Amino acid sequence: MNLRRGIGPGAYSAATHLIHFALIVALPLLLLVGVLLWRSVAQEREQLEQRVQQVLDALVTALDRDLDRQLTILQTLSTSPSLIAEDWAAFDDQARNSLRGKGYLVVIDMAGRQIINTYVPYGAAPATTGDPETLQRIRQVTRPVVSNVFTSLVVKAPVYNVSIPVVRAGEPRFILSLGSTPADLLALLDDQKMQPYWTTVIWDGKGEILARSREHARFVGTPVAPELRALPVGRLVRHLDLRGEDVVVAAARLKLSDWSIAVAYPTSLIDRQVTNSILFWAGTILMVGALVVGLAYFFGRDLAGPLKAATAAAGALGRGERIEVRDTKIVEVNAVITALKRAERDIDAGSAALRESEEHLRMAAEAAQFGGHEYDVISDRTLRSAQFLRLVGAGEGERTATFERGLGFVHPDDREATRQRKQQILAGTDNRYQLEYRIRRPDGQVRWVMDRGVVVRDPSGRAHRVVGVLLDISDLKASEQRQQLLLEELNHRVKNTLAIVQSLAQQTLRSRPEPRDFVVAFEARLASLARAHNLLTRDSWRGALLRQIMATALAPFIAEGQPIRMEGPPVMVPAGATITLCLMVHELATNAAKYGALSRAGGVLATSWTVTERESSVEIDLHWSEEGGPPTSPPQKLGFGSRLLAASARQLGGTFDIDYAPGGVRCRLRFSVAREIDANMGNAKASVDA
Amino acid sequence: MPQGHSSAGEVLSLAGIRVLVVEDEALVLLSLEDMLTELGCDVVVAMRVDDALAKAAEFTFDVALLDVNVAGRRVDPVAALLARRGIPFILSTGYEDVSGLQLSDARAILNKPYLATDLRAALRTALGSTLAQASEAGS
Repeated sequence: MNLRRGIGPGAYSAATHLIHFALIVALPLLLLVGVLLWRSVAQEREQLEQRVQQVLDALVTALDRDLDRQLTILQTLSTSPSLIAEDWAAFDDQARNSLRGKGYLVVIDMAGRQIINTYVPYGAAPATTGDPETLQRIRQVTRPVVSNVFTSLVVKAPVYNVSIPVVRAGEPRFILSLGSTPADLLALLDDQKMQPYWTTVIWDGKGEILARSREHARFVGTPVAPELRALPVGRLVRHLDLRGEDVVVAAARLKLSDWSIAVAYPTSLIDRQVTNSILFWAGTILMVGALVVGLAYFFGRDLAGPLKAATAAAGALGRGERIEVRDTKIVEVNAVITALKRAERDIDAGSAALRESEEHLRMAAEAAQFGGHEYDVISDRTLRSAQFLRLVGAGEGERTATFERGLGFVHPDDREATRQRKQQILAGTDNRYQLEYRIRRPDGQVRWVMDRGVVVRDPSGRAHRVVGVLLDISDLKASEQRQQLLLEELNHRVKNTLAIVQSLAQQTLRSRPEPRDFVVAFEARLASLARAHNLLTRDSWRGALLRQIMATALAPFIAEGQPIRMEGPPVMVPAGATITLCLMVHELATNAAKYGALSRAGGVLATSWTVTERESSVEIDLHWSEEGGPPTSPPQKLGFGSRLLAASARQLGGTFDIDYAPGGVRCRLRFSVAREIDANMGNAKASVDA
Repeated sequence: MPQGHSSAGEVLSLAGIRVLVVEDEALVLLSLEDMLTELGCDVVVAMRVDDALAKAAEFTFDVALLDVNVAGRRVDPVAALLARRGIPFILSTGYEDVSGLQLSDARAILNKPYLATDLRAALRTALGSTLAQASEAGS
C-alpha cells in the first residue's frame, strides 16, 4: 500500500490542518479585536467632541465672566462722585487707580468728544472717539455694549471696548468705555489648558478675529472664515481653517456680546487614531497569523514525525517486514503502533500456523499426488497448486488460467468432451463431480487423470466456485486395462483349452471307440493337459523350463520307476509351446509304454536337448531315443498320435522327424522360442534347482 | 453361435467345397480337418498368418475359416486379402468381443468351442448363394 494515495483533493498534511484549526480559532478573536478597536476609536472621537464642547462652554463662561467683570468695574466707576461732579481730573485719577494698568478707560460725551483717556496722560486724549460704532449703538439702545475690534487712535493697534452709558435725567450723558487689547483674551484661552494642537478663535460681530490661540498676532483683526460665522451653534463641522489645515470645529456665541468663539482640532488627530488603530489591528492580525502558522508548523512537525512512524509501521506490516518503530510523544499514535505490533504478532502466529497447515496440506497433496485447483467462475480464473503444475508438466508461470486455457493440458482427443462435461457441471445442480480424462504433458507424455471436486453454488444455485483435485491415475488405469486384458486372455485360454479338450475327446473317440478304452486314454491325455496347466500356473503362465516340461509330461512313467534320462541346458519355453510340448511328449511316452522301450523291463528312454542362441531366438534341438524295447516298425496307418505330433511340430513352427528303427524309436524335434523369454530364465532356473 | 439361418438347410451338400482353415492350435486343427473332411470338403490348412496369406493368394477357395489370433498374430491381413478376392470367411475365436476388429466382412462368427452342427450352419451361412448355384448346377 502507498501512503501517497492519501494525497489528493481534500487531503492535507497535519500541519495544514493545524493552521486551518488555529486560523478558525483566531479569526473571531481578530474580528473582535477589530470591533473593539473601532469602538475605541469611536469613543475617542466622542470624548474629543465632548471635550470640545466642554472647552467651548468653559471659554464662553470665562469670557462672559471677564466681560461681566469689566462691566462691573465700569458700573462702579459710573457711580463715582467725581464723575457726577464732572471733576474729570479727579475721575481720571480715580480710574487709573482702579484699573491699575488693566486696560484703559475712555470717557466720551454723546457728541463723541473724548473727555478722558487713561491710555494717554490726562488732557492728552484725542479729540474724538475712535469707536463711533459704540456711540451709535448706545445712542439707540442706552445699554452696555461690547464693541467689535477696531484700531485705537491712541494704542495704534486693534482693541475692543466694553462700554456703558452714564445716564442723567433719563438721557445718556456720557459713555464710559474700558478698552482692552485682544491679547488680554489670550490669557483666558490659555487658562483652558488645551492640547497644543487645538485652536481657539474669538471673533466679533463683524467677523473680525479678536484672538486666536495660535499665531494670534498674525490673524488678529483679519476676517474669520465665512463658514465659521454661519456655523450652527453646538454642531461639529469639518472645514479647512485659515492655515489650510483640515479641522473639526465647534462654535458658540457669547451672552454679553455678539462675539463668537470656536474650538477646532485637526482631523488628522482623529485620522491618525483611526490609522493607528487600523495599523495596530493589521499588526495584530499579522502577528497572530504568523504565530499561528509558525506554531502550527512546529506542532505539525511534531505530529508529522510520529505519524510518519505509524505509517512506516503500517507499511512494514503490509510488506511483512519487522516493525522497527520506537514510541513517539503522541499517545494516539503510540496506540496505533502498539495495535500494529500486536497485529504483527497475530499475523506472525497466524502465518506460522498457516505455513504449518499449508505444509501439512502440501505434504498430504505430495503423498496423495494430487494437484489442487480452484476456479472462480465470475472472474473466469483458475488457480492451480504447485503439485498441479508438476502433474500436468506446466511451469510456475501458469499458476493461473482461464477456463479455456485451463483445458490446454487436456489431451486433444478428450478436450472437447471434457469441456462439455465441465460446462454441464457448472450449469447443473450437483455439488460434486468426478471426471476421468487424459492429459498430454509438454514432453509428449500422455497420462490418465481423475479430476474430482466440489462446486460451490450461491443460493440461486448458480456455480461461483469450483474446488477440485487432479489425481494421476495412469497406473490405476494401466492396471485396470491389464486386468481387463488378463480377463479377456483368461476367457480366451479357457475357451481355447475347452476347444483342445473337445478335440482330445473327438480324436480319442476316433481311435478308442470302446467306452472303457476311451475313458482310460482320454483321462490320461486330460491329466497330461492338467499337469501342463499346473506347471504354467506356477510361473503365472509365463512359460516353463524345458526340463520341467519333460519331467511333467513324463511324470506318470517316472513315478512307475521307469528308466528315463533327461539331459540338457536350462531353457525357457513359452506358455503355448509348453502345452503343445506336454501333449507331444505324452503321446510319445504313451506309445513307448505300449509298444516301445517303456513296455518291458530293461528298456531305457533317453531325452536330451541342445540350445543354440540366435540373435532374437533360441533354437532347441530335442532328441528322443528309446533303447532295449521290443523291435519296432512304422505304424500301418497314420494314427492320431502321428497326426498330433506332426501338427504340433508345425504349431511350434519347428520340424519333427521320427524314425521307427528296429532298436527303438528315435525322434528329433527342432523349434525356436523367442529370446525375450530368457530374461526370466535365471529366476526360473534358480527356483527349479532349489 | 451360428449367424443366420440358411434356407437351403440340410438338403444342400457341402461336398467339394474348398475350405482354407487357419488355426494355430494343432488339436483343434485336427478335429476341424476331420469334421470338414467328413462333410466332403477339400481342406487346406495354415498354422501361421504368413502361410495363410501365401495360400490365400495362391489357391482359390469357396470359403475360409479363420482363427482370429494365430500364433500371436492377428488374422486381419488374411481377412483383408480374402475380402479383396471375394472369398467369404468365418471367424472362430475364444474372445467374446470381436468388435473393433477389422473383420467386419466376416459372414459368420464361431465361438470356441463349437459343435459340428454350428460349423455346418456357419459354412452354409457363409457360402449362401454359392451353395445354391452349386446345387442348381448339380441337379
